[in-house]
Amino acid sequence: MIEDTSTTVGELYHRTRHLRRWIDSNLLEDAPKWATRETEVGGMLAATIVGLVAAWMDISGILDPLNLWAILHALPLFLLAFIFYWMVTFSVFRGNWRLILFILSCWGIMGGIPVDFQFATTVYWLGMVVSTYLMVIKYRTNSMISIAATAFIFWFLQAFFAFVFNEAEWDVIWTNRQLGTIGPYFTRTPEESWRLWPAFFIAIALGSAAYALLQEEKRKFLIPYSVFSAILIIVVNYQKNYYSNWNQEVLSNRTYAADWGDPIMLKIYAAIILGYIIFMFLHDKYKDAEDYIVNVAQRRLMIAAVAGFFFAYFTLDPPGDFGCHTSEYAITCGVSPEEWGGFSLNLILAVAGSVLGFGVGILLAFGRQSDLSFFKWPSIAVIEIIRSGPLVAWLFIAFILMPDFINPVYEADSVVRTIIILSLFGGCYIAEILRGGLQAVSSGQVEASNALGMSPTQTKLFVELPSAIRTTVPALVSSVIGLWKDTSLVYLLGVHDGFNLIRIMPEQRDFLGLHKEVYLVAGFMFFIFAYYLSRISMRVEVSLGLRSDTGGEMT
Amino acid sequence: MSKLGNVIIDTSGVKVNFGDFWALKGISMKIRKGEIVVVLGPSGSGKSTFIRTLNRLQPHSGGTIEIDGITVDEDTSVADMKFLRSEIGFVFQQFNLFPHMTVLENITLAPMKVKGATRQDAEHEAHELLDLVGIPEQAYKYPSALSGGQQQRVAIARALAMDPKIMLFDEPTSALDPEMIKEVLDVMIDLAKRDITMIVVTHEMGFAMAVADRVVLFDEGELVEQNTPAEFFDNPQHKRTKLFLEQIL
Repeated sequence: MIEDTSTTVGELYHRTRHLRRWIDSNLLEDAPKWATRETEVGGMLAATIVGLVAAWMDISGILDPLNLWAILHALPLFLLAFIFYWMVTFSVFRGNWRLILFILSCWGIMGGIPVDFQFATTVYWLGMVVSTYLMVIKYRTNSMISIAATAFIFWFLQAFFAFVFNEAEWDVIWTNRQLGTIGPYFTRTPEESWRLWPAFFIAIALGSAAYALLQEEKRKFLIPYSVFSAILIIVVNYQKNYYSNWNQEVLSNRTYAADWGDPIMLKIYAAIILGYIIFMFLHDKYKDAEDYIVNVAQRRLMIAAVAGFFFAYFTLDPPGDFGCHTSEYAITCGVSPEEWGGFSLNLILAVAGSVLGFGVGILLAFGRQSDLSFFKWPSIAVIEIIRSGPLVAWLFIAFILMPDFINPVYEADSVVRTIIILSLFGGCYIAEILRGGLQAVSSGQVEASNALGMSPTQTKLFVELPSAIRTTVPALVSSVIGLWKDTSLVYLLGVHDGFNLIRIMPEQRDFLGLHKEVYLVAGFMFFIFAYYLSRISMRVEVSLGLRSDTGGEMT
Repeated sequence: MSKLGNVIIDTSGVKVNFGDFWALKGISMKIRKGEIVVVLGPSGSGKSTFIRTLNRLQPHSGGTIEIDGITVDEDTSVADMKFLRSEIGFVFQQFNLFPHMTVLENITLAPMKVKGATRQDAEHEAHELLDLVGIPEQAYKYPSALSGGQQQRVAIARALAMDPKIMLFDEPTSALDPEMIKEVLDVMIDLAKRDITMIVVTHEMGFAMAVADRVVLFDEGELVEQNTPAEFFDNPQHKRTKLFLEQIL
C-alpha cells in the first residue's frame, strides 16, 4: 500500500461503489430534450447570479426574517433556486418518485437551515455542485472543472463584494483622490494647476484620434468613452462628508469648492466634448479609407503624440525664463519635475521611459549586430551590465552617483534622472527583443534592399527595423507594461508617484491603518492601464496583418 | 545581331567557393549591351551563384568581373557599388517584397532613398510601371494580399523603377503556380523588346527559344556550352547538353 492521497481517493472511490451503482441505476439513460448544454450553462449562470444577489442581500442586512419587505425581495430569488432544483432533479433521475421526493426534501432542508448565511450558502453550493454533477455525468464530460471554477468565482466574488461594498472605508480614497492623481504640489498650489490641463486635453485628443483611426464601429469607442466620461465626472465632482475621528468634526472629502458649473468641471466637459468631436470627425473621414491612407494618418498621429508630449512637458516646466509669472508667494517659472506627482507622474515616467527606451533599444540592437567593434562592444557591455542589475539598484545609482557626472552638464532633478534610468533599463530589454526581430527578418528582404542599391544603414532603417518591429509587437508591449509597473519603484527616491502616495495615505490621522483599501485601488490603477495596453497591442497586431483572417502572410 | 552594343558585362575565370565546395570553377563570359542571355542548368550547377556575383550579393573568390567599366570586387568603392547596384535590377525567385509596405511604397522606396527622387515623381513612375506589368489597380495593397504572380510582377516593377541597364532574373517563375507563370513571362517578353540587357536563369525553354539571343548551359560550376537558341536546342555540341535536353524536353 502506498501512502499518499491518491490511495485515499482510490479507497474512497472503491468504498462508495455500491452507492454509485445505486445512483447510476436510478439515473435517466437519456437526458430529456430540454436538458442540454445550454440549460446546464444557463443553470450555472443563474446559480452565480442567485449567489451574488444572496451575498448582496446578506451584506446589506436585507435578509432579516422580521422584515416583510426583505422577504418580498427574496421571493424571486427562492423561486429561481426552486425551479433550478426541480429542473436538475427531473433531468437526472428516472421515475423513482421516492428518490425524487427524497432529493427535493433534502434540498428543502438545506435551503431552510436558519443559521449563519455563510453556512447556508456553502450548503446551497454543495447541493448545486452535486446536482449539477449528476446532471452532467450523463454527458460523460469533464464538467466538474467548470463547476468547481464557477464555485470558486462565486466564493471569490462574494468575499470581494462583501469587502468593497460593506467593510471598506472609501473615504481615504475619496478624500485623497486629487492628491493621488496629480501629487501634493498641485494639490496645495491650485494656482499652478492650469499647467496640467494642456496635458489632459492632449491625452484625450490623442486617445480619441487613435481610436478613430482603427476603423471600427462607432459604438466600440462611444460606449466605453461615455462610461469613462461619466465615471470621470462623478469621481471629480462627488462630494460626501465624513466624520473625522481625529478632530471630531464633519469634513468634506473634497479639497476644492466645486459644483456642476465649476471651472474645473467646465474644463472636463470641454475635454470630453473635444474627444467626441475629434472621434466623430476622424472616424467619418477614415471610415472607408484605404490601408495606406490610414497608415499615413497613424504615422502623423505618432508624430503628434511625441510633439504633444514635449508640449505638455514644456507647459509644466518651461525651459529658461519662458512663461514666468508672479503668484501669491513667489515668482514661479514652471513646476520642476521633482514637484510632479500622483499617477499622472507614473504615466509620464512610463511614456517617457518607453519612448526614450525605444530609441535606446534601437541603437543598442543595431550596435550589438554591428561589424564596427567600437560600436559593437560598448553596446554589448551596456546591455549586459544594465540587464544584470536590479532596477532598484539602478534607481539608487541614479539618486546617489548620477548627479556627479550628469549635473555638471545638465542640472537634472530626481525625476529626470529616473526617466534616464528607466529608459536605459527598458531600452536594454527592448534592444534584445528587437535583436530577435532583426534576426528573424528574412535574408531575402535584405538582399532585395541591397540589390536596389540601398546602403546598409538605409536597409536597416527602412527594411529591417520596420519588419522587426512588426513581428515583435507583443513582446515590445510586454516590456512597456513591465516598465509601467516598474515606475512604482521610484518611491524609493522620495518621488511622490501614485504608488508612494497610496502607500502613505493610511498614515493620515483620519485614515490610520486603511491599507487594504488603498492597495486595492493602487492595484486597480496599474491593472487598468496594463490591460488597456494589452488590448491596444492586440489591435495593433490585427492592423499589421499579423492576425489576419485572409490567410498567412508572404515573406 | 545588329542591335547589340559594346560589351557591358565582362567576366573572366570567376570562382566562388563555400568552404571546400567550389560552386563556380571559373566562368568567363562577355555579354553585350542589349543582349538577352538565358542560363540553363540543373540544380546546384552554380547558375544562380553566377548572377548573384554580378551585383555582389555573392562575393567571388577568384577571377575578375567588370561591369560597365567598373571592376566589381572588395575594393570597389561604396559610391561605385551603389551606382552599379542601381544600374542592375535583380528579380528573386521568392519575390522578396517588403511585407510592411504597400505595393507603391515597395516600388518608390529605392528611387526616393537612393536616387533622391521626389515622392511625386517616384509615385508617378511607379504607377506607369504598374501599368506596364499589368496590375495598376493593386498599387495600395500590401504584398500579402496579392497572388504569387502579381507579387513577382511587382518585384519586376520595383527593379525597373531604378531604371536599370541590366536586369538579372533568378528563376523568377520557379515559385509560381503554373497558371501564374505565363503572366510573369509575358511581362519579361515585353521587357526583352526594350533596349535592356537581361540575364535570365530559368527552366522555361519556351521563353529561351522565343526571346534569347544566347543560351548558356551551366553544370557543376562550369560553363558547358553557349550558343544561339536555334543551334543550342537543335544541334547541341556537348554530350552533357544533349543529356540535359533529353531530360527536360
